[in-house]
Amino acid sequence: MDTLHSGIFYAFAAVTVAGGLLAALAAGRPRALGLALVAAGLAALYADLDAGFAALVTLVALGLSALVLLRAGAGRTATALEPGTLVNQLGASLAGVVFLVLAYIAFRGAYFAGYHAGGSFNTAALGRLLVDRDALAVEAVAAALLTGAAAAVLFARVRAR
Amino acid sequence: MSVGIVHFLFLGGFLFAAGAFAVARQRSYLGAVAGLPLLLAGAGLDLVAVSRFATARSDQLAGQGFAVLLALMVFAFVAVGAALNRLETPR
Repeated sequence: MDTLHSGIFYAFAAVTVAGGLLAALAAGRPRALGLALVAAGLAALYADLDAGFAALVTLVALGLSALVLLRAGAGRTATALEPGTLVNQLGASLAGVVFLVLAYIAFRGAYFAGYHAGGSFNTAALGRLLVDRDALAVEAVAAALLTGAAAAVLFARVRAR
Repeated sequence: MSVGIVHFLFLGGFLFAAGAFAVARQRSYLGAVAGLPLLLAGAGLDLVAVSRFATARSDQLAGQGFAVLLALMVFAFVAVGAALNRLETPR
């Protein structure tokens, strides 16, 4: 990549990092603003990677998500960051470990261009994989997800009463 | 300094970890839901970057297609989470 692409990457990576920190650490309106910044930064990075359609969809989807969060959090105080239990703290610490592992993999990994050994990897191949060869596994996962979603909705309704 | 796949993977890893941190750290629905877009955005950025740098030219659309799917999933997750938060909040 040339200097122009490098400049674009560093500028929008800074926007994305700032938005990510805001979305992860803040509450209320700043959290929605952080998500909007992530949407803008990510869309610009996708466009820089020649992925224009993905950039457009990401901008719209994450922008709408920020709007939904803004509307859902309206009327709440911006200082409503809840510290959580010991399990929450442990999970947050593990997130830091996950970042270290991912950073190590990114720096130490060896990447090369090549074809997938299983042949062409496109929409038709994916469809054959999901509804033909691994249909039973896909059905099992879909049933588990549907059961979980229904249980979550029922749980929320019971708690709301 | 030239930008390569490592830079994008590092940024994607940061977004993923920030999302995991937000999901694990906060107990409220909205706090956790705000972390999900970061999680999936990190994964999507990695997919697009790998398909751009580390695959053959003809296979680049696969990673971009998955990134589009992830972006749509983000909006669905946030919408469902906001609805659950509304149900959970006492009137």
